[in-house]
Amino acid sequence: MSIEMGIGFSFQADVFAAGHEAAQQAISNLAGRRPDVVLVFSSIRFADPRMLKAVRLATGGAPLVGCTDAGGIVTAGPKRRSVTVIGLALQNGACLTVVERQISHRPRAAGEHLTHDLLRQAPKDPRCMLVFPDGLTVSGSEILAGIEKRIPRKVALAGASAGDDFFFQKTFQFFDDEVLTDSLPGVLLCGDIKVGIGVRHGWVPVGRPRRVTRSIGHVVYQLDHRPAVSIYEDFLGLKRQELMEDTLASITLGYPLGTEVPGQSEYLLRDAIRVGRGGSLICTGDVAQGSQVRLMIGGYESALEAAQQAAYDARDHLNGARLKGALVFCSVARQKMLGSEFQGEIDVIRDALGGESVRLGGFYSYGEVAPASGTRRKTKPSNPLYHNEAVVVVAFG
Amino acid sequence: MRKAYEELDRTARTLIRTDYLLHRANERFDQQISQLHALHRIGSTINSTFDLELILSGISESMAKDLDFEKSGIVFLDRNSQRPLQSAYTGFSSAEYRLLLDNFEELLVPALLQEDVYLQTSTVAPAAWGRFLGALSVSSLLLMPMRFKARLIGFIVGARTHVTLRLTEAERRFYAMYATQASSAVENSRLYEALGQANLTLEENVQERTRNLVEANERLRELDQVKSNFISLVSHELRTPLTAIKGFIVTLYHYDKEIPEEKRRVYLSVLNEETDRLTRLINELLDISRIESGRMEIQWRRIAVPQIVQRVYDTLSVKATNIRLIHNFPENFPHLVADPDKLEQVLVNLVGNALRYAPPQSTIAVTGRRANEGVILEVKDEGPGIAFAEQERVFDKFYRLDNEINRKNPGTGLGLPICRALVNLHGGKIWVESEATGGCRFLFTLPLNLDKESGREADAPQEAVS
Repeated sequence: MSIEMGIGFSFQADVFAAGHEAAQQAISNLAGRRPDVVLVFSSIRFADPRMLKAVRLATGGAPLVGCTDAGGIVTAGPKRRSVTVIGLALQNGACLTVVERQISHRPRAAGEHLTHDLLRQAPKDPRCMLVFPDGLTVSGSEILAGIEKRIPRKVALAGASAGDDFFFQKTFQFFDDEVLTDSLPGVLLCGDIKVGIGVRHGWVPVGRPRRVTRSIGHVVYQLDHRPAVSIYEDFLGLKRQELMEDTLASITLGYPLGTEVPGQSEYLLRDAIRVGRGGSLICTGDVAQGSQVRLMIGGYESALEAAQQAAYDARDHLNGARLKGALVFCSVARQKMLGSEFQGEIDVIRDALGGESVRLGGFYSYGEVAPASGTRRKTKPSNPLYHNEAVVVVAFG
Repeated sequence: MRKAYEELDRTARTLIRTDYLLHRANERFDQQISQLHALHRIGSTINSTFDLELILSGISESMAKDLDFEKSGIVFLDRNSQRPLQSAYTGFSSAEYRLLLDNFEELLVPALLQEDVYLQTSTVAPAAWGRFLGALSVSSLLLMPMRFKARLIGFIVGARTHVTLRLTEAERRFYAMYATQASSAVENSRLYEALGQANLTLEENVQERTRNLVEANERLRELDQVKSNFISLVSHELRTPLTAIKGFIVTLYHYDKEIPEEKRRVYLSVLNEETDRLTRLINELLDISRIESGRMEIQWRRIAVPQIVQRVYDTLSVKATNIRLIHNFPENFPHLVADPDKLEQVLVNLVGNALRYAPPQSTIAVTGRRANEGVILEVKDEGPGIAFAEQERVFDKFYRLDNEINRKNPGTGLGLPICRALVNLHGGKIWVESEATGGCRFLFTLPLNLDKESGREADAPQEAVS
């Protein structure tokens, strides 16, 4: 046994009681083993130092990283308005945690610095790095670009951006006893662990492609020389004012922009979360100028198929090692698209990984970090990408 | 080719618009279902108890758990003062919650009276609200008044650090329903408590009445016993003189001729005495009965006690051949208000008793002096006195001292009980002091009773007698 996962969750009204309950469950799941690191994902109501304190007390002060979400994921399925606590216990391994603060000024440097710090301390065999950035203050792509500069190929990278219960206003990150915002907590798992990652979305393009005639980073100014927002005005039949008044994200989540990426079987999706000056679209990840984008649409069946495929991919990448548990980072867009059926997606993942006995933990996020999808077995892991509307399955063996 | 592209785009547009509208509708349904769930949950929590404290904390917790409010509370107002009376909160620190209640009059009440669901958000709030929200560390605050029959009985508050700019109609409706649900639970609990209290009071009342009835019954039984005793005593007392009278009359009737004249005269004089005694006994019985049944009326008059004492001496002087009768009153002895006839009756009784026991050549003195709120009168003789054990019993009805004098010349046994009753009717007390070696002093107090004067002047009060 090289890695064990213990999962707990709570809905309690009192934040301290909730933290305590969720942590206690995670601990009892670990059958007495002390966790080497604790991942905490919660609704914004629980973004309170008292909740973290309760978790820290119950887990013997184990290092803690996490963030707020738009719903938690546990073995039984998705849980809204909850605290999820995942305890990871490694045998002959080590866990390192680091946090970067005030990342909006220097997202790339923050990514780079975080990776450097984690690897510098790694005693042996760094295997998997998990990051949980603030997805609203910076472009996830920028952070990834920084991480990529420092991360060795043998280290698997995954993670997801924090959420805030569909408000799209402000997310929080957790690091030990602290509740932070505009931050980037990360954890590095070292030792004899097998990690398999799968990522898919299942969205399909509709309509003709449009050229990105002007964009800088994650801000798309023009598509086919017209203000970028006009693509939504055209397709949804909504006025610009309506798109600006309502939270754009809540409308566009169902219909992201998609670009083709070499080496990835599916389109790479981009969520537009705000309408900027002059009708620009502010996205959570970069959109390259000159590239072609298409409007994408999700469907129930293709979304579930994608989730199943992501789970198979993750399991396959374990190269035959016995599955011990999996983290699931699922886009908030999927929860929204699937509506009341969103439990089905987690069921599909659990079944694909082996059924009831599989332990799952994770959360609904505003952006996902994983290698490009569709990479075949035995090939070298591809470059990590910042995804939107995707489901990431990180299997541990 | 270009045309095909355009067609593709048009199809895509139709597809996306339809998909978008379907999703919106679906979302609304989902939202309504989850709201109904929240209503159902809060309903099953708060309707499972009548304990107001549990209901309040249940609602406050439901605001956090089901409706995502980071900070929430519920406040129940005092019915009369309309001020916060009882509350529960979740997520607020105690200092924040105090601050919330401190702003009750100034900010919350106007808001509660204004709308059914009141939303205030920091980005658009007026200055006072802006400061208030800042101090609570929240961006948006929602107030839901709880009403019962149009009367404000409390309110629910929910606050978030994230901004809620406006509420949809559906959300407003939901929050209003939520508040109604809470109101009826709170009001039911209050009514239940009031009902319980009323039941308790009723129970207490019934118990008290029962207790009173039992006591009254007990008293009645005692009175009945006293009455029976009294009747048997009275019949006995009446029979004694009657037997004597009957005996002498029978003798006189049958042996009229054979009885010598002197003997006849003796018989007749005994008959006369016994008839007197019978009359006296009946009069005194009537007195006792009047006093005990509360029918004895007191004629309040302003009186001078020494005058009355003198009148008593005058009446009894015939019997006091060898005895000195004196009275002793200080000059400033006050007038008092009392029934002159009753007082005379008391003194006749006491002086009469003294005369019966006074040895020849002795003195009987009536003394008066001021004491506390009234006066003390004392009738003193130089007779054999009364043993301590019997001093209290002499005031019992029909109790008679067993001695030579009484055996030769029995009294009615009602004189002293009547004295006590009459003195008590005046608000005074009577008792006896005596040394076993001899001499006996009957003392009684009388309040001045000046407030009871009926206004009519009785016996000339100005005359001072000493």
